[in-house]
Amino acid sequence: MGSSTTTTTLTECIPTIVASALLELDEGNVVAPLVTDVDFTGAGIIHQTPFIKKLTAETDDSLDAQALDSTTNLETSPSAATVGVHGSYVCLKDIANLGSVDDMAAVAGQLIGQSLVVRKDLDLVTLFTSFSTNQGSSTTANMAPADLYDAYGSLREYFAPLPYHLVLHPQQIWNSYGLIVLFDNSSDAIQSQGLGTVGEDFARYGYAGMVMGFNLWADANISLDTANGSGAAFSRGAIKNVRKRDLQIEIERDSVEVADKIVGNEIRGEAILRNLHGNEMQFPSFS
Amino acid sequence: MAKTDEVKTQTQEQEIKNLRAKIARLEAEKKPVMVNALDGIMSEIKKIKQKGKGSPDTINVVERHDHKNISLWTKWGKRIGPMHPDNAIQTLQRFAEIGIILSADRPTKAQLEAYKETAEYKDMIAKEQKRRAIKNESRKSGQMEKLTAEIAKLAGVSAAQINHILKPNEVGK
Repeated sequence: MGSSTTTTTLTECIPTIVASALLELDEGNVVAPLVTDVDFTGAGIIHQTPFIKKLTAETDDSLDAQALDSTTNLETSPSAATVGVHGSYVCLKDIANLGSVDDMAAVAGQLIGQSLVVRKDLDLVTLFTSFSTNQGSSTTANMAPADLYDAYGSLREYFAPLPYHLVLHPQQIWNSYGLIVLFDNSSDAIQSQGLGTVGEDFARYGYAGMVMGFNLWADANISLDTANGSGAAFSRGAIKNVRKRDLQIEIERDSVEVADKIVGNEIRGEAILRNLHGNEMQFPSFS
Repeated sequence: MAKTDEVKTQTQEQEIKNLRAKIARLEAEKKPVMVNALDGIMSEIKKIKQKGKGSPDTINVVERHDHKNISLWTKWGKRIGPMHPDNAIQTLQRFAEIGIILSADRPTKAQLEAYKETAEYKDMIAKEQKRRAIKNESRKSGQMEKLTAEIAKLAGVSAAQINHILKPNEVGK
């Protein structure tokens, strides 16, 4: 009965192997592809879109001249987006890079890109709160079917072109009081007998691409707590995303710091373009 | 001789007693003493690491912007934004057109409490509840019960009879 050689007896001889790092994940670029994209190269930092009011045709053989009118009201406020610099910067020390398993410059580049994508999406989703029409409410977390068709009706009333998008926080969709409840055949559902095709999609895939005329998107960048929770129902013209210069990554050697400075930045702005082509859908969290 | 032996024995017994008490005391103190000693070492190691730390092995990610996003607030504490300052100005104007005055200052708890006592707030909440009540009618809550009641009325039976589904052993009896 001699002693056995085990990992315990050889603890000091067994190394710890560091694998490739997993990066913390973030929400993707959800809203930018759904809104008006403006390429704003050239002079200026404020991109302004004026509105001209419509004319009224007359049934008369003596017509009144009508002035083209660019004065504003709730629907036709000129939309101005001021572009600004958004960037992330990593000072990557040589010793950190040389001592790591991964290529830390590549990791830094990926994290910089990720942070800028999140920044852009955050700037766009926070505009949802500045639509002047709110179909939801700060007083309830429960969505009703009418919230969706009221939003559709509101967009249609102001001639918002299709397709319509509905962007909500994931917890506003898949939750015991969220959108999914409207399609689960419960007493709060849109229909009380049978799931219906949208309910079937949720039951089968866990997801429905389209509900009540809206393409459905989940965006975890929307702030959701007991006080906040504003998604939006909108048409493409509701918001403009103005790009002065797209993402650019530069590396500069800093000998004194014994490091590489890795800088990513883009110059862009965003603004409400047609206020009435978007509806805020405010449903805060219960807890 | 016998007396001397007796004294000797008593002394030895006392000594054993004292030793046992000492062992018991040390046993009782043993664990905390060791933990505290370990804590001390760990804390010293931590201090050494903190004191001796330059910044050669850290990677700092710094976000940089040429502006600061601004939040606007309603009188009842709803947050609008945060957004680019120019967007905040446009939002301020847009909301003013529908009669809602926003502020760049977040209302304090006292201000919120005071506002909730105003007639303006109570009126707003009453309107909001009325609006939600209409919207909530679009839910199917209670529709099955209403349908059952209607059928029961037409059939001249009770709703309980309609809802009573026979078990297999009750069929035909």
